[in-house]
Amino acid sequence: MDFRGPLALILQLLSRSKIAVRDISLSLIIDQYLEWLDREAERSLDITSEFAAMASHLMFIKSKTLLGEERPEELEELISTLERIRATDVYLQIKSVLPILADAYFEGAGLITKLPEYFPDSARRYEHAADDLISAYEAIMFRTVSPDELLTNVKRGYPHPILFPIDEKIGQITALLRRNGSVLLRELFFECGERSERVAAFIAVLELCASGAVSLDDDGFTIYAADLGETFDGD
Amino acid sequence: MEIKAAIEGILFASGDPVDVSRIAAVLGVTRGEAESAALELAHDMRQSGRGVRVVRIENALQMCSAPELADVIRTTLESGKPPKLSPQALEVLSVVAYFQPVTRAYIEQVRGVDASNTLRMLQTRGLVERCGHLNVVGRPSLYATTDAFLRTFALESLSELPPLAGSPVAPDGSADDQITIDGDFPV
Repeated sequence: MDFRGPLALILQLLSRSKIAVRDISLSLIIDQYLEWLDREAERSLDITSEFAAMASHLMFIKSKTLLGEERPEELEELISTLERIRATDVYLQIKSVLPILADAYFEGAGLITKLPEYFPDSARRYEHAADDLISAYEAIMFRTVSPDELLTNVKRGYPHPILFPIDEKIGQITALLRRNGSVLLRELFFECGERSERVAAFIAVLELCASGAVSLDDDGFTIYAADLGETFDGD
Repeated sequence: MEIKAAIEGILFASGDPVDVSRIAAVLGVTRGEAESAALELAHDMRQSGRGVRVVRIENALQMCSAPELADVIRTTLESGKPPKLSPQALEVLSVVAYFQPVTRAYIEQVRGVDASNTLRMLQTRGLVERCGHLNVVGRPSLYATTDAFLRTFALESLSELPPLAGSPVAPDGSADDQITIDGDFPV
């Protein structure tokens, strides 16, 4: 069945009903469709027959739906065809206004703005009524979370600072590589005492890889000494 | 205090768009009075051939240079012309502007090609921004245009966008084959 002409009509009916293609209500569309056919039946036999065929197809889909199929294959096909047609319509509509927008862009490009002025003393000063201050004081006094607990909660949200020096970790890794030639990444991280040391080890490996001193094996689990030179002597 | 002068000063110092309501609150006048004064100020600037203009962007006001001076200003400041928008970028921007908020999938459905790079570029240039997520599986990002988009296209609001043809074009693209229902709704 050639869906193209009749489907454009359905799209129009859908847009009148302000509903999305996916929410298509066949009974609503069929009602509108039949109403349109009643009015237009005498205009052109060719058009009427084409649209009558479409209406019968819709009836067929509706019947299958009523007989228990949740979403008949024909309905999915109809919906995807409708969406494709609608997308094409939108694209053509957009294409038609592009020259106007291109001119507007050219015009708007002449409007040059400046950055906000810098105010060194930008501290805000607040004024509060006495009642506000009392309410705030009461809210603090009667809150259920203690200040210590609150502080702990706040601190928990922040990452710990890196305390372990990365240079030191680079030195340790290069010394290890000089001894063994290669080392498993898992071992490298497993031996780290705390989180900051693990972070330092990770960054150190990245640095060494970036400088070409070490290389990552094809298996992705081992690093080996490539060109440690004298600069990576562990000092 | 002269309201017009105050607005001019505020907009000069701000650089960025300033909400009319905020100006009205600070100056102790009604929103309507602030809008009237801003309109008068914009008119005066235009009439007297000043080098700056006051433009309206939705509910905000912004000061910018007169468009006819753009070349002189750029030459003086040795600043290049603003980068052109490619036809592809303009298409993506138009889909966002007319159908916002939209998902990337919608843009790609309309254009039939990937839009991720173009969207990223438009975001970098401040013309498009993420404005939330669609509440469906995967929660895709929704995109909308920014205030900078309005200024860049010399628009006061989205309602000033050139209207799209209200009637869908015939699916085969030929206008001759269009059929009219009730005389008003070409299909």
